Amino acid sequence: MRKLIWVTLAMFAGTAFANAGNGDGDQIVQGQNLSVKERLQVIELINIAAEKEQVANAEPIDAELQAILEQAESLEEPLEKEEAE
Amino acid sequence: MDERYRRRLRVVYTVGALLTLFFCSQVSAEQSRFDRPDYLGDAGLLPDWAETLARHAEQRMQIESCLEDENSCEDRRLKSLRHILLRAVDLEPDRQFLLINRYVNNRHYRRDRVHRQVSALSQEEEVFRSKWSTLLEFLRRGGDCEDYATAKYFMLRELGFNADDLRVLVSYERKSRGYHAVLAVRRPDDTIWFLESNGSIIKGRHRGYRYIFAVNEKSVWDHEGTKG
Repeated sequence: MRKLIWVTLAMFAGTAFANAGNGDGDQIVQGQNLSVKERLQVIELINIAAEKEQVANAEPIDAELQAILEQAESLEEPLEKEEAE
Repeated sequence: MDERYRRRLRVVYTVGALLTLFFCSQVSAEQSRFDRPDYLGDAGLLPDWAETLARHAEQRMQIESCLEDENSCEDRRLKSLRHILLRAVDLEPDRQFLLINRYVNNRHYRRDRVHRQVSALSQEEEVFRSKWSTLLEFLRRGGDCEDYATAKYFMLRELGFNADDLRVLVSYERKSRGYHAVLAVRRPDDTIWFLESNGSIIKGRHRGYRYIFAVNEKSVWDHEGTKG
């Protein structure tokens, strides 16, 4: 029982200590202990490439918005025809 | 059951309840971290993003002159953009989101090519798979998910939305095990709306994702894999 209480106290103390240690927030990224530069290097190399199919329950749009979209599309149509040729 | 055993059981339950409370508070704190300033630094710290912002700033002159006079629109894609922006400007914000989201999502998907270049950060040759596009580059060539999110960002900025309320948010999707980008918009009631490239607009939590980082024209934030 005492062990359990000590383990609990140690966990709380550890968490409090970890949070207190982040005073120099500009230099250390919270939680991962990486410098800003190292973290940016990781971020820089992430491959963001998810392709999403349009979902059936996508937000419905009303007739007015649909008309605006169709007019915009029609402004590009000659270009699309040229590209197809 | 003797008294000693009952007392032990009570202590165990109390400690268990305390631990549960402790971990729950950690989880709920994690979930609301989108609004917390996990600030990494200025947007200029991400070289590719900073270059994209600079190119967009140059290209804005084309957009501005096209908005002022249709005859000065350099191509039909600019005319189409002009039409959307001029019609959207009088709509309510909710409908502006619907229109911009649908207009951008209808564009051509094109995966980035893998390219090698010397990283401005590490000064070593690295393999890059993501390349950010400006609004005009995206309209002319298409792009992948970060370009969809960026195009929505730039269009909403044209409509007068504050940069502080907009972030291009990169997340890790647990289902597909891939990285995905959406535009996150903070609404006046402090809820976050996610303009998805699949046509939906998610209001509130973005389930199934772990936030990795976010950018806007001012800053870069680190979300360190916070749950969506």
